[in-house]
Amino acid sequence: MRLGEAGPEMSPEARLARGGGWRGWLGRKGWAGVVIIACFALMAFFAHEFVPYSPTATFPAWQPPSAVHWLGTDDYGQDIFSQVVYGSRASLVVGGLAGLLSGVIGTAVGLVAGYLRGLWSEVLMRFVDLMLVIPALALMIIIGAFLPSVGQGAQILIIGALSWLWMARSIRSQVMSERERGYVAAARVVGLSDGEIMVREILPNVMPIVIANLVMVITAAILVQASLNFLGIGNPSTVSWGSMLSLAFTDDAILQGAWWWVVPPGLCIALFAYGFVLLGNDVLDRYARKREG
Amino acid sequence: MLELVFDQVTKTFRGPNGTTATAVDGVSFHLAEGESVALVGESGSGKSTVARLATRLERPTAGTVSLEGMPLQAVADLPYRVQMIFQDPFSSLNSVHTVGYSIQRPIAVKERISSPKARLKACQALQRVGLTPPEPFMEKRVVQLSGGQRQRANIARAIALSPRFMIADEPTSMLDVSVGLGILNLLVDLRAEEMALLFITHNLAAARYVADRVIVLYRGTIVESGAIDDVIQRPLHPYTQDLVAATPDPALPFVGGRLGDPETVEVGWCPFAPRCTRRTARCETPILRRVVESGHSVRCTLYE
Repeated sequence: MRLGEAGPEMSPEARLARGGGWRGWLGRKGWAGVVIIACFALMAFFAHEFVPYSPTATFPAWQPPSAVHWLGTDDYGQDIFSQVVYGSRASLVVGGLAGLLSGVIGTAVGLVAGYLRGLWSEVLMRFVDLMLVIPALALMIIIGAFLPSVGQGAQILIIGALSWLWMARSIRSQVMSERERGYVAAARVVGLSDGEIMVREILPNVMPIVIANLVMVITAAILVQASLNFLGIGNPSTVSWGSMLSLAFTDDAILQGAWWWVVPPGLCIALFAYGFVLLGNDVLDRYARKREG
Repeated sequence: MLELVFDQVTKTFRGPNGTTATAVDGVSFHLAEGESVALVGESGSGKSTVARLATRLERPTAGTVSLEGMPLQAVADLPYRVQMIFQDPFSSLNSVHTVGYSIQRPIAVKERISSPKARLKACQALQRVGLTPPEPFMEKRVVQLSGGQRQRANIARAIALSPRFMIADEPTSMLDVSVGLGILNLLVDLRAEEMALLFITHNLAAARYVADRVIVLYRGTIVESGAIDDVIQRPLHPYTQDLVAATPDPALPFVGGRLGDPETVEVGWCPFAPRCTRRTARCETPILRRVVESGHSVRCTLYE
């Protein structure tokens, strides 16, 4: 071997770059999260395939779980299991799309504010600070109250437009540290444009942070969507976990001892959000470890 | 005349709590076409700031940097006239891209050509810096290259844009000696192509190997300049004398007198005065002038 040539031993980085196949992308936590999310996605997608009844068909009311009605019925006599399965669609669609929307806004604002120093960066971040002190849920409720009707599209827009603030902050701070690295200076010296440096040089390097934040934003969007539906802001004819809990609350499910009406949608919200939390934390952990090593 | 000119350039960085640090203080020099100049100084002397000012990575606080009489800020195609080799070969290539992408993308942007055409030129550049055959290197990730190979890839990216001026900011300081020598030889070869070189180093021997003229920088001020052989054989400034004395034989102690902490010592007019063995009361007063004798100049009260 001549001097200056790479030896047969590969650096740990090089091995990481080659990867240990797709299994190596995530840790045990991350894959657990992926499995949870995938289960719910399958449930939402094939809801009509394996639901025993239509979610709006009526049967005798207040029935406890049985072989006929796996999770019992509510005060209208609607099958709870069918409602829970169909309700996953609203969470997935609204949570996912609102999360993506705010992810795109948050990434763009974070990149620009972190890369451009000076006035623009300050103006953007002061605006973000201002928005952060306004309680987002209260603002959404007010906006929802003013709109004649809040369908899924409106819900996606409202949640998406108000959930990107923390993400923008987090990505900005990461981009600020990234822009001091040698490859950014080199890219400027060889004449690449600011836009290209942001999108094609810096963005791939902060991608794990973007993904981790995206996952957190989706989690938040799912919870906010459930809250809005619970508070009655949304289309009451759409079955969702939030609207199920809302009905259970107003129709005194607890007083009737109908735990089967409250626990399943509540657990679903928690478990679905937990899947995203697992995934997000795992991506962040691995990113931090890669940075240290 | 094609020239890169620093005219009374000062760069002050603002730190937290209103503190300031002047990295470069009233520096004037020029780099003519085809010339090779070494900028020598210790850590913190402002060498790298000069490099960043010459490539517009920093704006001067005062004074002007100009190219062909035009202020640098107004030169639209600066990347295609002045290029830079960075000190750290490990961070100056983006690890998310292949080596080929990093080299061909700036060419494609410069010449507004498609990637395949730019790719051909990138291969030629790799060949010129000795990464042959170029094709397998084009596909490699940065992490698969050794330090010397990375620095060669960095040089390939810079020369592929055919600049007339090359700023090399301590290109060998993070490489081991044998690999570094290969890089120095490469820089000497570039000189044959009439590319002007500003070679930044703390190593006088390396400076002598590559450059004809030397500028000695101490704490942001030029203390001495002249033809490299002249300065090494007959150093005038006490700092240069120490530097020369310390260079040929590493066993020799650094002959500087009281080696105070440069950050805490109160600095008068001569920045080297606190460490100088031949300090007089006059060093603290702003009466220093540059004494020039046949292209060799110095900034010291001893030669007034």
